[in-house]
Amino acid sequence: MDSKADNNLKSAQAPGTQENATPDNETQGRREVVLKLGKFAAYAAPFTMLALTKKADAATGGGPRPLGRH
Amino acid sequence: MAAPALSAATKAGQEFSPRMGIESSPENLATPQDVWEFEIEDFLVLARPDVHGLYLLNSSARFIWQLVKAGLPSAEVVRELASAYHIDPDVAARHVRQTLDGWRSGLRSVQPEATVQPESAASADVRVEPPAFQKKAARFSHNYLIEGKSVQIILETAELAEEIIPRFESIPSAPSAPDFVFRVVEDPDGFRIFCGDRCIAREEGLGAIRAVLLQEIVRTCRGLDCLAIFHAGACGSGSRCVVFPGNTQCGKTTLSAVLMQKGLTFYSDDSVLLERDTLAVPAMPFSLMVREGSWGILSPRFPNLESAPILSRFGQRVRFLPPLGTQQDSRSGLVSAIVFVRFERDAANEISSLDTLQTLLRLQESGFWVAHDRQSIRRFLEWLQSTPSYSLSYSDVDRAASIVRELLAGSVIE
Repeated sequence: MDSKADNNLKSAQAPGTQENATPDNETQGRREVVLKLGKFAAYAAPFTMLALTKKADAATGGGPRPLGRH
Repeated sequence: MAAPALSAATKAGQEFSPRMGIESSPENLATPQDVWEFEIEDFLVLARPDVHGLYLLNSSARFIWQLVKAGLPSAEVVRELASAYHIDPDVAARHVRQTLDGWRSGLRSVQPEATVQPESAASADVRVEPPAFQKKAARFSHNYLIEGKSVQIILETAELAEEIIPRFESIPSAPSAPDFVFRVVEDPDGFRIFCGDRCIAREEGLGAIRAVLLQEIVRTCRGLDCLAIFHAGACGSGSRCVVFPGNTQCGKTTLSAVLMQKGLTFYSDDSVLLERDTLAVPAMPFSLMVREGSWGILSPRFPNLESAPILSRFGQRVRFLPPLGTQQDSRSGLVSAIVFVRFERDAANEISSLDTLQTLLRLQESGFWVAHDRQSIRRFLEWLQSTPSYSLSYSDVDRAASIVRELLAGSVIE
């Protein structure tokens, strides 16, 4: 990672990110920072879990029902 | 962690009709407009009107959902996912395909795999005269004084009486005519509860029908409208309580009993109701069921426990412990914290904070119910977000009790 990207990452992770990192062209700068935030967000494989909300489960216990957990 | 933002092109796509979605055969899929959406932190909760459950989507699944909702073709979804998270396009393609396949059989299926039959509570208002086979002679009938009401309990089999009656042993009899009559019958599909001549619940299992009966008695006597119900214990102090969700034999009854012995108010060892308007938990007046494994811990604290009858329940030896204190008042407590407890012989008595998604996943394991309409789900999720949640594994029940008392006193554990 080059130093510029590293700086962008630090800026993106800091509180008040968008304001701190706004360059001369404000609109373009904000857009880039938003995209950086996306690129540096930790990736976890997508999962969808159905949590059943049934009286029987509330009475005696639930259980895992994965749907598309990878 | 922030969820990735959608690109400008994707945002523009949000103007497209969801029915122009990424799949070529939308007639076989429920559209995104058929579900209720609740954005929570960086994840998403979805619900379908016809499925009694909450679909929990983590951050990346939420991102895919937003793209699907925006009407992007699958190739674009893959490209956006890879770009946003800076991952290999092949990995993105695989994950998108797997996610969409999963949704086709569940979340977006016209007839989802987990379609839930009408809930027992949902069918509660159907007026049903008990059929002839339910009118056989009752094995058990008695009037109890609960929450200031006279409640007649009628149980039609010895099996039902063995499961239910020990919970009532500390509840005084009611001399007056009943305000409410609860009748539990067995039928070919399981068990049914009638309140008067209304069928208010149907469950397959004996344990489930017992738990629902106790919930319904308290709910009816106090005139409560429940937002949610947890398979959980609860104890409190003053106007606050801590809720301990957990699956069977996780240690919630033992911890509840020890907290009760230390002077806290006992609310429940098995079912916790969350009242809709006040978001408070009512105290339940029923006896705690103590399994043999906990007798050694609890007998020195409750001398009467050793002389309590030993009963056999599903092959396990159990005793029942009456709750201490004034159980006949209508006490309620606001929830200071949710603590998922687990007793482990060598555990280090550690507590750790859980975020909202982790809490929902843990509730799914322990068992819970939420009123299934958009407004109720939103209110429940808002309450959940505002309530601190923890995981507590313990081997020393006194240390665990101290931790719970700290939470009740307002400590926030990071």
